[in-house]
Amino acid sequence: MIYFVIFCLFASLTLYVLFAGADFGAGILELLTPRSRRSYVASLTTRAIGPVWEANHVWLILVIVILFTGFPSLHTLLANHLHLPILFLLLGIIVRGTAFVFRHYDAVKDGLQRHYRNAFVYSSMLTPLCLGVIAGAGIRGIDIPENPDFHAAYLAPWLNGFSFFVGLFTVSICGYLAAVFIMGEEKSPAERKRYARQATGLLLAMVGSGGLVFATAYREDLAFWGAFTGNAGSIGMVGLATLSVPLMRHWLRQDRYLLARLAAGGQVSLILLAVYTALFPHFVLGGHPASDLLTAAAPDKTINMLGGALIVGLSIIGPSIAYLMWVFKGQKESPDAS
Amino acid sequence: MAMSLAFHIIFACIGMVMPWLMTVAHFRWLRTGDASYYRLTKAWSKGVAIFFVTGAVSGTVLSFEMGLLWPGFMEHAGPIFGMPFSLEGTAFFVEAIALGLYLYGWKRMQRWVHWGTGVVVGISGVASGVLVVAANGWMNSPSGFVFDEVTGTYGQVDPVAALFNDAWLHQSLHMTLAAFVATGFAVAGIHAWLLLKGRNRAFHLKAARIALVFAAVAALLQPLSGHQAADRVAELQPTKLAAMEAHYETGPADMIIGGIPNDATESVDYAIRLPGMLSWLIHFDTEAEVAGLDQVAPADRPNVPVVHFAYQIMIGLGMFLAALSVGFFVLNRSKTPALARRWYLKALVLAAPMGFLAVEAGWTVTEVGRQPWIIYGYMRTADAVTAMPGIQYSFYAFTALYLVLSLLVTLLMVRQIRMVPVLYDPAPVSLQPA
Ligand code: HDD
Ligand code: HEM
Ligand code: HEM
Repeated sequence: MIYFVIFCLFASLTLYVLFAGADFGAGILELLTPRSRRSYVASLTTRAIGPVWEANHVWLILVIVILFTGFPSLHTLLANHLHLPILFLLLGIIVRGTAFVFRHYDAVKDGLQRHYRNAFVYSSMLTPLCLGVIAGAGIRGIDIPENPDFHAAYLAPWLNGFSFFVGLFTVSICGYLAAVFIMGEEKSPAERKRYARQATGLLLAMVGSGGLVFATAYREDLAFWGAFTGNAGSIGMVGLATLSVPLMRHWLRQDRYLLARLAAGGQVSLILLAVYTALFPHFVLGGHPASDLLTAAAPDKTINMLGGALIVGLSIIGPSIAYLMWVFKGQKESPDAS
Repeated sequence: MAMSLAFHIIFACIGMVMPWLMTVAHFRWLRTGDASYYRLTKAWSKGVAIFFVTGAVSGTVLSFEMGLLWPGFMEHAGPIFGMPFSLEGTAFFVEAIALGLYLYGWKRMQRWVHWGTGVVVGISGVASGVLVVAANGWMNSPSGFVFDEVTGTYGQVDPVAALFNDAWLHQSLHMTLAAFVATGFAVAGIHAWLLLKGRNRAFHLKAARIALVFAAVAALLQPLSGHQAADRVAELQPTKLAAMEAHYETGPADMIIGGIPNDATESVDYAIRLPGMLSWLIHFDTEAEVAGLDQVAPADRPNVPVVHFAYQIMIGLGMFLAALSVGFFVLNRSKTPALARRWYLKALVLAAPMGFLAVEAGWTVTEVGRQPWIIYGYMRTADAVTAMPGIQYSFYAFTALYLVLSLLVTLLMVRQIRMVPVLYDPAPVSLQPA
């Protein structure tokens, strides 16, 4: 059961990056769009990402719930030493969600719209940056010296170049996912081309910031470098991820957007999977005993209940999602949303 | 933490109840084909969407906040009471999917199936509430583990026993009713106000009536459920009950109405006393002994004046709302129904915030009344706080954030309600059920 729970943990994290990532990315794209096109892009964004997208946070919540129920000491370790970036992440989520609602639902359309927009776009950038910094801190390893001062305990773990580069990498991933996702919603070929260019740019940004991540890992001789390069599985997965790029471009050119989206999603999932494989059985690196998922696990009875609850949850949610897709699939009629 | 919960609870109540109002309006529309029911359904579904997003966002923050601010608590409590939270995740997810189908599914589904998705939204909202309150009940009456005095560890964890703790039933029941009372009266109050201003009568009359039926039924049941809650508290947390009633000395207990509890003299100044009433309410015997605050050392008592005032406020508001509800049903049997009387509409406007005030007061009773414990009898609040220096700034940050957010959401609602006449007053197009 413990392996099933760990699987759910990684799976929800991946789904969060994919779905919430595309959601954040929509804001990032808007930020990257020239001023003259913005209102057009904004209305497309609103159409593509309805209020229901806010539900994607459920994946993140699932991660937290699995952590505090199943791996309490690990959860405590993260909540303590990464307190500040998590705080900023939450700030980002709040501002973003609120700004989106206001922009979409404020019945009076006036000068306030501009402020909603600014809040929305910048928090769309900040939130994945924080998410990446948190992930970066975990990958780099949380090693707290004895009797740490404030800096060593609460700043050093995440306030460093490596974590920042992982943050940038995450931001590029989100923008990239959104560009590929939104292209399918776009009717005009000229606009579609613009999104294709943005997707390519962001892909390059991904490669660039990914390169910086590895360069830093190598230069600082981080444990992650050894764990990654020593793991054939991880390297293979990154290879596969790279192969999916031409595939994605091919499908885009043929206007087969569903396949292209799948390829982009698969690419990102493979990259994440490569990282998990390199870390496993650790969730974060570092010498702390709580960082090992197998030793940090809660008593069997809790793990079994948690696994049971997850199975019940999945067996209710799975069919519901299938139904949702079935209802909306291929129906071209414009949604009568309000 | 208390601040974010106080904020979230309002969204939670609305998230639990608005879908029900919406589905009733929708039902009426499907049955009667009356276009103002259609517009009402649309208007309310917009409200549901707004509160859904805000509820999801504030809930996301809460799930982190517990770990950020109370790592000591979560490390021990997580494995024991994490179950309801994982199930709440499921309930929420179902709610999100159903809401997606509902909002975007007009004209895409068979119309009764579409209506059914609205009902699912309502059911899963209430399920979320019940589950989380069960988690809170566990903090009040912990079960499902064995505490080792020597090592200070929590062993033999049984999450199912923890979920069905002794307090879950009375708290969940009381909370669910409270959500209907609070949201129902708030919605009825808003529409009553628009009726007083002479706006689109057909629309607002229907709206106020639907909301009020829910609110009034719940408000009449609420004192009964509250009484049962008090009975259970007397048994499970005698100190909390003593603080609620400002009952200092063990022995036969009076019911104390109003008054200022004085911790120094251990008496209540300026109070109205109904001799023996409290003993009677709990044991049906005016002479029966009720444990007082003197059973525990002063350091182990909650803040008596706060708990006592909050309790009185909840009951006072509860009684007023129950009276309004009686009025609603009685007047409706007369020639002029309640909603056709201006004074009744004015009373409804006055009552609009009362349900929510009562909810906040009730939570203050429950939470402050449990102090100094975070897990009643096992862990003190002071031991649960994070060790991070400067943590107060985090607290301040969250508090400031939620204050701003509350202001903004209020502003949005005001702007929304102002636009109601523009958006929903009869339009020349004729609407037929699809
Ligand atoms: C509309 C709101 C509302 C109204 C009218 C009332 N309550 Fe209440 N009460 C709440 C809303 C509430 C709540 C939702 O805020 C609480 C906090 C925790 C809980 O489960 O419900 C609560 C808690 C609560 C508790 C503590 C339960 C515990 O700690 O385990 C008691 C004893 C009562 N209530 C009693 C009453 C009585 C005797 C009422 C008589 C009219 C009453 N309540 C009206
Ligand atoms: C599942 C639900 C809840 C949990 C897990 C929870 C948790 C806690 C914790 C950990 C404390 C101790 C912290 C302190 O003393 O400041 C506390 C206190 C408090 N909580 Fe809650 N709470 C819940 C529901 C609520 C709700 C819904 C409200 C309000 C509407 C609320 C209001 C308060 C208040 C007023 C205090 C007392 C603060 C004080 O003594 O200074 N709680 N709660
Ligand atoms: C410690 C306290 C609480 C936590 C951690 C918490 C957590 C959450 C979370 C995470 C969400 C968003 C749904 C999701 O993304 O999964 C949510 C929404 C919700 N919560 Fe809470 N909650 C708490 C207290 C409460 C309380 C006391 C209630 C009350 C009855 C409640 C009822 C709800 C409801 C009904 C929703 C759905 C909101 C909507 O649809 O608008 N929650 N909560």
